[in-house]
Amino acid sequence: MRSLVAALQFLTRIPLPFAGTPGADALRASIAWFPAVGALLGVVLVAVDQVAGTLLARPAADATVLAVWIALSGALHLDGLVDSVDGLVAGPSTAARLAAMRESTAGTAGATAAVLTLLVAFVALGALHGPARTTALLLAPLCGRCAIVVAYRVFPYGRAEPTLSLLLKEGTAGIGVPISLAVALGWALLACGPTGVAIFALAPVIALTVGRIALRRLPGVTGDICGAICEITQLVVLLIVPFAVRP
Amino acid sequence: MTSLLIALQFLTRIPLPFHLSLKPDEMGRSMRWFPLVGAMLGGCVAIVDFALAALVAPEVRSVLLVALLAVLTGALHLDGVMDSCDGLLAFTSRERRLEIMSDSRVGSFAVVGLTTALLLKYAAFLSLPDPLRLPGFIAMGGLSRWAMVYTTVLWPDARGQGLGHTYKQGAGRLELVWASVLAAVALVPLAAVGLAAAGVAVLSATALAWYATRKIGGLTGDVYGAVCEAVEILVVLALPPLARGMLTG
Repeated sequence: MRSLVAALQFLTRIPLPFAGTPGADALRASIAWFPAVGALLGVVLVAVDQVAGTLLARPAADATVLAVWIALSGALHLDGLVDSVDGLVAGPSTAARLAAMRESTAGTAGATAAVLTLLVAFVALGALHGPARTTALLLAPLCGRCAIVVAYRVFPYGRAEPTLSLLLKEGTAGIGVPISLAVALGWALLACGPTGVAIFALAPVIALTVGRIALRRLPGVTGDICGAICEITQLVVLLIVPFAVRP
Repeated sequence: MTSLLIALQFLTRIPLPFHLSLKPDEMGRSMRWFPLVGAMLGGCVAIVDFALAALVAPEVRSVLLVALLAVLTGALHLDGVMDSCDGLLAFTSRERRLEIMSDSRVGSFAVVGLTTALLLKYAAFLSLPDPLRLPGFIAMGGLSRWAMVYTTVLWPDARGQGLGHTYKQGAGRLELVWASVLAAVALVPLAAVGLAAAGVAVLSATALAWYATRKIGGLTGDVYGAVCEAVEILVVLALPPLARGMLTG
């Protein structure tokens, strides 16, 4: 239970007033709960979309769902995307790139990536209707968090110093992670049928692809890279669902 | 009358034929005129909206209005949104948050907050039906600038210095009463829906002020700006469902 609370505290801004600061063990184990938190976010977003859809006109509902989506995660993964892009374009050494990712100021490349991501997500949401919309909102957050888990499990960790992300990396070693990914796959099948499984398969594909690109410029993945992987996965799911689900 | 010009000079980039040198207490007192200046800005938006209606598609019209507001205000309040997002959303101590907010550099939370705010505003403008546009834009301007007066006067100040503090020093209950009367006048065209819109403004400004007080012990000039933008967006977003609910029920 403590590890589930830790996952919720880390991945969302949902207020948990009675939960203290999670310890190292809870954080390590929390990674196995990431897919479950992704599934929960999907359900919440579908509910928000239903309410927004009855109250507001389409563009306003789209923007509202997107804003709630970002607010729920506290822009955690978008922050990772900004830092990753700033880091990957920096040079010339690995150390310089890792330092650029640490920099709290957003660079031009990182800011551009964030603005484009939000713009694409907004327009993509506008093109999603009916069952395709529900499928996309259910699966995008789920696939995003599963991709994070895959990336941490598969790739070496990129920083030498102990960080929170290192704890998450250590947590992927156990049997909990494959089980949680299998449960997530089951949820995708249950909620969205065979199409759900096909879309779910995007998560590892994107995690492996983006992770490999990052590894050309860095010694391993970092928390920021995993955040970027989450954002990219979510975006691809939003864009691909219309091809897979008949409106 | 000088205080109206001071408010106009501070809140807008509308060129005035003269430049007023500002005394701190006059700045605070000028807050009584904030809702009037806001309603004027809303009126400008409505006029341009009307002029563009026959010329361009609704999407283009709405996005141009978002740009117009940013230009008319010199992006003053959007700057507040950005600094507030960086300061309030970071994982750090209260002191560090205040430092981040005075830092002129832009962090990722600022980029995300600004983009989300602009997208929401565009979508809200686009979703506003024709009969609500003129009264809605005026109410938006009046209520958002009123919300700055409300949060300045009734909520604590986090920094004890700076522009926000200067305004707080000079503004009291009298300014809030004046501002409330002016905001109420700006709501008259909306009739009963205006009352509900005022409720939205009070709720959203209070929620933000409470959040900032929890995080940094009070508000700053940047947070007042964020309050202004949030109220603008939420009032326009809420108007269509409010109007529908009150006309049918």
